Amino acid sequence: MTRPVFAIAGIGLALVLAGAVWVSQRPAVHPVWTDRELVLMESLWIANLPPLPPDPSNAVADDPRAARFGHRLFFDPRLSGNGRFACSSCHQPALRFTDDRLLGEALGESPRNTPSIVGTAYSPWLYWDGRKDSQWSQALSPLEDPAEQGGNRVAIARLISADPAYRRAYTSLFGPLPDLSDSSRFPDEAGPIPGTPLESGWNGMDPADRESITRVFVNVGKAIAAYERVLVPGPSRFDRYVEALARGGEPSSGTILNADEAIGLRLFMGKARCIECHNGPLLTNNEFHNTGIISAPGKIPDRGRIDGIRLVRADPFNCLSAYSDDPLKDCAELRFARTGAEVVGALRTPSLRNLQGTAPYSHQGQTPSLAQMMRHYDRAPIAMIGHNEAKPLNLSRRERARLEAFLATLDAPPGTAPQWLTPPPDTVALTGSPPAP
Amino acid sequence: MALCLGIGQQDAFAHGGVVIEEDLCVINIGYLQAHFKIYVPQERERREFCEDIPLTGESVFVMEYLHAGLSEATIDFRVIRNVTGLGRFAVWDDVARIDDLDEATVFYHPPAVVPGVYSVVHRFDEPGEFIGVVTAMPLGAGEPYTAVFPFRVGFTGFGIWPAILIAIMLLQLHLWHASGRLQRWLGRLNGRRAGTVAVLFGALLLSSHSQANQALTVSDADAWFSSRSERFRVRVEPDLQPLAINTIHRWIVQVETLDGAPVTSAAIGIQGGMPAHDHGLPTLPEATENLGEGRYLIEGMRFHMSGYWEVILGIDAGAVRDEVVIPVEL
Repeated sequence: MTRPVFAIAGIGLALVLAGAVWVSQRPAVHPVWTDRELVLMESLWIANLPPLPPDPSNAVADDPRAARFGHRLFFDPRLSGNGRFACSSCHQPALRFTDDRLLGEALGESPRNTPSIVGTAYSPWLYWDGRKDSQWSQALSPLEDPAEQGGNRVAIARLISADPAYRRAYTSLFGPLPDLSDSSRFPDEAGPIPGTPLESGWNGMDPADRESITRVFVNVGKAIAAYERVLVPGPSRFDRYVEALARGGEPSSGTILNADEAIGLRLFMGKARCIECHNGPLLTNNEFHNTGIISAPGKIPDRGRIDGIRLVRADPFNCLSAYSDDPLKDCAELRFARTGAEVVGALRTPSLRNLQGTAPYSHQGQTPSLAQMMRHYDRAPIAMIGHNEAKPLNLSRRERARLEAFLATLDAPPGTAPQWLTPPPDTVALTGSPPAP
Repeated sequence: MALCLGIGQQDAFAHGGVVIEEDLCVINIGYLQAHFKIYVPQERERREFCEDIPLTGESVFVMEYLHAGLSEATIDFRVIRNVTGLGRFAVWDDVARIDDLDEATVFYHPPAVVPGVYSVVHRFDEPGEFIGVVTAMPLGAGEPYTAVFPFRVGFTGFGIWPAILIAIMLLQLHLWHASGRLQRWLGRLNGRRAGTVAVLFGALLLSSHSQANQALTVSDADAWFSSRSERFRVRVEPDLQPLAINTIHRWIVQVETLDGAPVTSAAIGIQGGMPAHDHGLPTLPEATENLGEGRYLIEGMRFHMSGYWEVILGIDAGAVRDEVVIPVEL
C-alpha cells in the first residue's frame, strides 16, 4: 500500500528536480527590442557622439602643432620634480590612459583613483569632484602637486626655454619666451606651492616676472590639452551591434552580442536604471551624483562636489580667469553650477567605455570588481554623508552577471590614430635618456 | 534610521551633547545642532552608531549640520580617554578640570571651517571609555560653544538583559495567543491594511492620470502654459533645438496675463527636477536679463537624464505672484 505512494512521490520529486535543472540550464533567449529600446540604444551609439565641443578658453585647442607639442610634453618626465614622472606615468596608454592602482601614485599618493582621460574633452568638469573646468587647467595641477609630478613652473619654463625643440614649438604657437637668464630675477626652481621651499622663492620674485612665468606654465597646459583632445573612444562590439540593427540587420546582429550580453543591455536600459546617469555615447552625463560608495580605509567619506565646486570657483585658472582665451567668458557651466546639500558626497559619473583592465573602480578604488559594483547598485545602501540617489534594484545573481557581460561589450581601443597612443618617436633624443618606466 | 540601540535605551543613557531627538541622533553644540553618527565602515559597513561603538577599529564620526551656522563656524574635534572617573556623567566642567588635556587626548583635529558636513576618522586600538569634545566658534561670535559626549568603545553589550526581555515578550505573546486576543488583533489589522492598499492604489491611478494629461513638450513652440492660479501664461523658447540632455543652454521665457498683456517687470525664479526620481535640476539657472515686452532670458539650463522633467518658474510681478510648471519630456 505504501510502496506505490513512495514511487509516485519519488517520480514527482525527480520531475521537479529535472524541471529546475532545465530552467537553470535553459539557453538565454535573445531579446526582441521594443521601439523605445532601439531609440535608447542609438542614443548610446558612438556614431552619435557629436564633434568635439569647442574650447574657447584654449586658443590652440584645435591646432595640430599644439597637439604634437602636447604629445611630447605628456610623455616627458623632465616636467616632474625628480625627472621620473610624466603625465603618462599614471595615464598609461596601455591601460586606457589610467593605471591599475587603488589610488594614483607618483612622488606621493594621490587621494583618489586615477580616472581615464579618454573623451574628457566632452566634459565640462574634470576630476572626480569637478574642481577643474577645462582640460588645460586640469593638466597644470599634477605638474606642481607634490604628491604627483612635483615640478614647479619656473623649472618648467626653464625646460621649455632650454630645449631647442620645445623652444621652437612654443614660440611658433605662443610667441617669444621671457628671457630667464637673470638668475637674481628667476630662481632655478620656484612656484606658489604652499608649505614648500619653492613658495618663498616664488614670493620673492617680482609680480611681473611671476606673471610671465605663469603665462608659460598655462601655455604648457594648453598644449597638453590640445593633445588630450585627440584621445576619444573608439567603436566597440556594442557599437557594431547597434550599427547592424540600424541597418536593419536584425538576424545577423544576434552574432555580435550573445543573448546574455543583449539581456544585460536590456537591463542596463530598464530594470537596472544604469542609463539614467550613464547616458549618451560616452555613457556618462558628466554630472555629480551621490551613490553611497563606502569610505576607503583610513579616510573620511569623500566630500566630493561640495568641495569641488568651491575649489573650481576659487581656481586662478578657471573659465572666468584672465588666463582663459575666451573674450566672451560665457562660462555658463561655472556660473550656474549647483551647490548646497544636494552635492554633498556627489562625484562625477565615470564613462563606462573601457572598464576592462581598469579595476579597481570607484573614486578611491573601493570597489575591486564589476561584480561587486553590481552588488552595490543592487543594494543601494544608505550614504555615509549626504543622500544616496540610487534605489535598490532587486536584481538576481544572473541579472547582475548579464549586466557585467554587457559592460564588457563596451571595451575598445581609443578611436585615435595609433601614433598618438605611444610616446613620440623622438622622445629619447629629446630627453637624452629613455623615460623612466 | 538604523541605530545600534533601542531608542528608549539611548534616551535613558544619553548624557552630554549627543541625544536622540525624534529618531535622530543629534549633537547640540550650544544652539547649533547637527545629525551625529558614527560608522565602523571596515567591519560594519554603513551601520550607524549614536554614541557607543561596539567594537574597536577604524571609526568615522560624522556631523551633518542641521543649523546653517555650522557651515561657517570654526570647528575642532577632540577625543580624550575618560580620566574623569565619572563615566557617562562627565560634563564640560569635568573635562575643563583635566590638568593635562593633551596627555589624555587620543585624537585631535585642529580648528577648521568645513561647510555642509564634518567628518573625522580615528582608529581605536583598545576598548575603553572616551569623551568626545566638539568646539564650534560661529562666524562673528565672541565665545565658542562646546559639546561633550562620553562614549564607550568595544563594550560587550548588555549581558543577559536582552535575553530576559525577549523571554518576557515571548511569554506575553504566549498568554495573548492562549487567550485568543492575538488572533482578534491580527484580524483587525488585516482588514485595515486592505483599506490602506485600496486608498493607495486609487491615489496612484489619479497621479498617473494627471501626469498623462501633461504630455506636452517644450518643443511645441506655440504652447502656452497657464500658471497654477491662472494669473499668467508662459511660453518658452529654448535656444537648443531639439532639446537634448547634457548640454547647457538658455531659454527665453515670455510672460503674459491671460488676456494677452505682456508682464514686463517680473522677477523670475527657476526650480525643477524629475518628480519620479526625487532630484532637482543639476544646475542653478537664473533669469539674467529682462529682454522687454514680457520676455526674459534664463541662463544655465541643463538636463542630465532622459525622462520626464518639470521646470517650475516662479513669477513675481510685484502685486501678483504665481507659479507655472513647464513639463519637459526628454
